[in-house]
Amino acid sequence: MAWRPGTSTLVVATVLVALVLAGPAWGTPTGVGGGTATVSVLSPEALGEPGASGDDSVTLRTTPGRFGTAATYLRIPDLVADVRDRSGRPQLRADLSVDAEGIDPPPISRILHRSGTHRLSYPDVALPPQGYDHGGTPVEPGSYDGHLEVRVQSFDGDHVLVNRSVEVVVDR
Amino acid sequence: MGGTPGMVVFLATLVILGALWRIDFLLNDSVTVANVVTNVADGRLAVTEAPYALTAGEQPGLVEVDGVLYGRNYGQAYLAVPVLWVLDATAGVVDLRLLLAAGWSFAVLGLGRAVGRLLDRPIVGWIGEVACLVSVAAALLVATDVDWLTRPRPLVALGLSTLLLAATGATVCYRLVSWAQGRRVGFASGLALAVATPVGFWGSFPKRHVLSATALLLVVYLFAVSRTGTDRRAIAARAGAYAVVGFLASVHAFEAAFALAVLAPLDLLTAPTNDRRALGAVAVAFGVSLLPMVATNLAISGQPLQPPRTLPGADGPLAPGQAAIDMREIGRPAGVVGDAGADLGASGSLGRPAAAGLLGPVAALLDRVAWVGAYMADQLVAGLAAATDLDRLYHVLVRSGWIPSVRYHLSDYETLETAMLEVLPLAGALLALPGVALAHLREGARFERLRAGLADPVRQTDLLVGALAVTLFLAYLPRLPLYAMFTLRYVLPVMPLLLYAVARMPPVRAAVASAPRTLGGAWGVTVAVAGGGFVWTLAVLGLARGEVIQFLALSGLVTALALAAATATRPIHERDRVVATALGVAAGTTTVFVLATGLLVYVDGNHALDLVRLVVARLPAVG
Repeated sequence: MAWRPGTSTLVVATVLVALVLAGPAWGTPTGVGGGTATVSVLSPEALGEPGASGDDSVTLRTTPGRFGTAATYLRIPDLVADVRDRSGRPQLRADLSVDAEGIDPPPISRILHRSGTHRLSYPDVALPPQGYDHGGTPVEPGSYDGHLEVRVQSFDGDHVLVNRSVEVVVDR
Repeated sequence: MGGTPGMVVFLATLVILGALWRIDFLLNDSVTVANVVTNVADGRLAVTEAPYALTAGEQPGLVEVDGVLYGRNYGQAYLAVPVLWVLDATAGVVDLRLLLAAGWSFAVLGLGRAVGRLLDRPIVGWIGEVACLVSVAAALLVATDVDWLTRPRPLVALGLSTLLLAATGATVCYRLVSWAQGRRVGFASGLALAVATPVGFWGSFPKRHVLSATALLLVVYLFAVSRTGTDRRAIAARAGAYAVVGFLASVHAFEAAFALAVLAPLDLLTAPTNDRRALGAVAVAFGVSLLPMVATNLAISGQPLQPPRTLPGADGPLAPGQAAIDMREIGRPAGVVGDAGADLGASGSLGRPAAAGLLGPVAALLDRVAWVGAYMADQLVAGLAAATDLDRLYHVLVRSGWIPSVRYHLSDYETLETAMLEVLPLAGALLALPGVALAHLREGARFERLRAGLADPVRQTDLLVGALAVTLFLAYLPRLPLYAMFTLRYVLPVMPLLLYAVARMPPVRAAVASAPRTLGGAWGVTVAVAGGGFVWTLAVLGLARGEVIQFLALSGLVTALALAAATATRPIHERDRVVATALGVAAGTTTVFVLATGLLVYVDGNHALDLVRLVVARLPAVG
């Protein structure tokens, strides 16, 4: 009896042909490229006023860890932004710096590959409980100055969107 | 493969863990191994090309011999290199992302067909075919470059080989437990290994632990098969068990040494025959299987029994978090960060050989064997001492939380470490073991019957599993609890052995065999409800990474204790469905852990499948 391909064989063959036709460089780049975008910050609302200077301070407070972790957390609210008139692959980047050794949140960024609402989540920053003595840098309770900068960047330009002072209060 | 059920277990593991697979490093010592894969594929052991690191300091585990840099875990790299060859061969023809999507889609197709055959429902096969086409079509629409890496293929090959090893481990688990407890319990155990143990967590990252776990399962399975006769198949299986241990030595020599120390005496004592043919086959297989390790060691250290892991590190001026990731593994003395080889070499045991001095190479070899034996004995003695530390045992086995002895600053103060019952709640059934044993004794077990029972191949295999589990656990116990373990990864190879032990318990066997729908239903409901509840909790409470892990860990511990209670009280309630429900809930809790960590916690837009990446981008983020 002559061999007749089953549907699975046809499916596999179709996929393989599609793969070869797509070629070795089908995927689109994910990194930052050229382009621009009009971005307005929706949340936190305190950052949203257009043309805001660095005078209005935003306060962030630490809260205790839950579910058995003894760490204290600096929970930085998500940055929600509305993106319009987008072209190319610009990047939205937020960088919070705090004048306290031991509090060093990494900058966060997202490629704006589409218009609409984008949410950037800051990872919470864990601080050690008092009395932790295995190493690292202890952070004493108190109030620390910080600075938040939000930019839209691309190979075509760099636009500062938010440039604010931030107060960070460490409670225990 | 084990027929259609084995195929289902294999492909289901590939599909589930493949969806969770991230082309990334969870721990920076994997950077070293990925660089080793790159160089081995280019035909050299020395790490002269390092596409995943700019400096030696970024590669914990890198060693230096006469100014030349080498990595470690070469056996792991040897398994990944053929996969890399395949990927490289397609590089000029097919886009990497599409290749991965197509491979995953073919696994979906195969799974649909296999499940269709298993259930005798051809429509499932057709659904698999349609799903395959839809998945590839969607991948064509949304495919992106893997452009966060300059040379992604070696790391992809390492990840892919780890996935295949996890799927192999699940299939071996199916076959082993089927052999001991029947096909139904075996099938459940195989699937459980993939989605209800931390093997599911580590299957999607390029660490060696899944390889070790699969290797030990294979050793146990081949041992089991070799107990059943004296024919050629049994002898081949017996030789195969030693061959797997021999190859494992090229990945982690000390784990292999402990496995050999357990296997060899039990094998000789319980083998159906110890004639010259059988022992000759064992000797030849073991000798040949040691060649990868011996050749690698000779090329690097000049000593056949001195693996790179024991050589002086070339880590350079490391940041503390980088330096310490893997320094406390077996083979490196506890507490030493950095120049471990020099520390031990001062005692004349581990430094580069004095080329045997006056005694010659044979004496040097014997000296090294003696050192390995003494080292292992030391580890076990330390393990026994550690086992008397109840506080340590509590944090390793029962509850993690914030463990006072752990150096959390190396994980940014996040409580990512977990205890055994928290991530393997199925092991909760073992808490009922004393009661089950007591009931067994009451039924009239006598010393004579126990002795006769040890002639039974299944009991002999139980003995091997127990001895392997206890030995490896004790060997690592002095180093635990420890940061960067996530799910007690050093003892990951013990976990499938515990799963086997759970499957061997009579109440568990009865529950799985007589109430499989209850078991599957409880698992499905748990995954749906607990998974949904977890996502809701995450969205409402905005949990940080350490909090997420502890939330999941507590859930695991609660279900582990519930399973212990259900199993221990089986003689009272006499309901298999109660035990089956508890098993399903415990397994489902770990599945939620595996899914949550794979989709939400340890992620950074780095999933291998674009479709998964897009779904994950729409889920609540971990703070």
